[in-house]
Amino acid sequence: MKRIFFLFALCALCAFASRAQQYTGMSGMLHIPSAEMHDEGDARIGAHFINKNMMPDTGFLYEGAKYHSIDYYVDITPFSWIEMAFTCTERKTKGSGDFGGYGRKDRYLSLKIRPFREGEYMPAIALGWNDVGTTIDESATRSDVQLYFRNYYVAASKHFFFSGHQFELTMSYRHFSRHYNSKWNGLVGGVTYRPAFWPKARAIVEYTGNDLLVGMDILLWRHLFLQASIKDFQYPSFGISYHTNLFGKYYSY
Amino acid sequence: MHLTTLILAILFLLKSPSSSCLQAQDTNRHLDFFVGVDFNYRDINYVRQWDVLLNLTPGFKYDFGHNWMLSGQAIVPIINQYGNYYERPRLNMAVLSKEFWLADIICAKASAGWFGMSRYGVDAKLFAPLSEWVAVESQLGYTGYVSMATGWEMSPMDRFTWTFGGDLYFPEYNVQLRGIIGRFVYGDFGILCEGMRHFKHTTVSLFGKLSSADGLDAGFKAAIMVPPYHRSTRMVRIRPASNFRFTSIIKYHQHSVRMYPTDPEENEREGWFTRPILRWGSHNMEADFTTLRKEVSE
Repeated sequence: MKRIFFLFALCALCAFASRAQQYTGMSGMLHIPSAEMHDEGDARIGAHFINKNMMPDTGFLYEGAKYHSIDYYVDITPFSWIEMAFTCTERKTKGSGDFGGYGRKDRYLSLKIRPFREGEYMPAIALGWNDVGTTIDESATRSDVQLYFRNYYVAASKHFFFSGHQFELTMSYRHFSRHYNSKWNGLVGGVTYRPAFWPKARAIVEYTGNDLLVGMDILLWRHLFLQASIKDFQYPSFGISYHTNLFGKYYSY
Repeated sequence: MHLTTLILAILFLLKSPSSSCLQAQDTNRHLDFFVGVDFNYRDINYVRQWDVLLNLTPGFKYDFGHNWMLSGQAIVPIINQYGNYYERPRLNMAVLSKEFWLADIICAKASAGWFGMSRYGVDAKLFAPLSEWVAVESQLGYTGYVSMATGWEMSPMDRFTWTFGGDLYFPEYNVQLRGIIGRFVYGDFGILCEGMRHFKHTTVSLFGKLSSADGLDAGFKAAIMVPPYHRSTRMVRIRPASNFRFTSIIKYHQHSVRMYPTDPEENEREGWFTRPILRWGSHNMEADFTTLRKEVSE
C-alpha cells in the first residue's frame, strides 16, 4: 500500500500541469476565467473548435443562422503575474460572385494580471480583460467593429488537496460589453478535479451564467494539450495546443 | 558623397581592438554556410484565408579575423501568393562589415554593400553602454534602392536615415526596454518603443510604433534561436540559420518605422554586435551557441 501511495505521490510531483480556458488560449477553465495562471515562461499555440451554441448571438451569423467556428491563438506568460494571448476567430462572409464561407477573422488580445497569489487560506485573485483591442479585415468598415468577445472579470481560485487529489474552486464576476452576450454576465464559477493517480488530466464542471459545461483536459508528452467540453450534454467543443516553457523548465505543482 | 567617403575612411583606418577577448576571436576564422526560412503571411482578402510567402534564405558568413565579416544571402521563393514581384530567386544581401570600439566608449559596426530590404550603401551602428543596465544607441545610413526582383533596378544613393535612442536592461529578469526615434528606411519619421524578455533560446517582445506616414501601430515579435546549439570548430561549417523570427502587426503597417538589416542573421535577441565584442544585455546570458572543441588525449 505504501508503495502504491509512493508511486502516486511521485506521479504528482512529476506531473506537468496545464490549465486553459482554451477557446481564448488563456489559462482558466472551459468558458469561464479563473485566477490560476500558467507558469512563468509558458507559451502555447493552438486551435479550438467552438460550437455554435457557445458563439455570440450577434456577429457570427451567416444567412441568418449561427454557425460553428474555429479559433487559433498564441499565448504567453512572460512573468508569473501577467499573461497575454492573441486570438483569431474565423467568420463566415458572403463575397462577390459565388464565394461564401469562412474567410474573415475577428482578432483580439487578452490580458490577465494576478496581483495576489494563492496563500494558505487566501485564494488567488486575478483581473482580466478579453478583447482588449479588436482589429478587423482591411475590407471591413468601421461598423464591423463589434468587440464580440470583450469582457472584464475578476476571479478568485483556491486549491484543496485530499490524499493527493486536487480540487480547485473558482468564482468569477464578469461583464461582457455587448448586450447580446449578457447571458454570460454576473457571478460564474466552477470546480476542477485533478486525480492523484492521473495528475496530467483534469475534469471540469462549470456554470457560465447561462449554461452548464462539463469538460476535461489533459497534457500529453509534456507538450500536447487537449481539451474537450460539452454544453448541456448536447453541444461539444474541443481543441488542441502545443505547450512549452521558454525557460525549458517544467514545474511540479 | 562626403559622408560615404568619411565612413569608408573610418572603416579602413580602424585600429586593432584592445580587448583581449577580441584577440582570441581573431584566431577563430571560419566560413559558415546556412539556410533559413523567411515566412510571411497577410490577411487582406476573404477569398483566401491567408496569403503566404515562403522563402528559403541560403547565405554565408566569412569571419576573416580582426572582426571583419563578409556575408551574403539569397532569397529563393518556395510558395508565393503575394504576386509577381516576389516570384524570382534573387540576391538579398552582400555586406562587408567591421566591428570595433571607438575610444573604448562606443562599440561600433561599420557596413558597406547590399543590405536587406533592397537597400545598398553604407551604414554605421553605434552602441555606448553607460552601465550594466543603461545604454545609448544610434544607427546612421546613407543608402539607395537596389533590387533584382523585376530585373536590375537601382536608384542613386540619396537617402539619409538615422535613429537615436536608449536601452534599459534588467539583468535579474533579462528584460530589455528600448526606445528610438528617427528617420526610417521608407522616409517616414517615427518612434519605436519595445519591451523584450529574453528566455532560454527565445526572445519575445511587444512593441508600439508611431509613424509620420501611417500613424499608430503595435504588435509582438518572437526570435527563436534554432538548434543545434553546439557548433564545430571546423573552418567550414554548414548549419541552419541561427534564428527564426516572427512578427505580428495589428494594423499591417509593415512599411513604417523599419530599418534595413545589415546582417543576414540579424535579430532582436543578439542585437547588432557579436558576443565577443560587446558584453551587454542578453550577451551576458548563457550563450545560445557553444563551440565544441575536440579534447586532446595525451
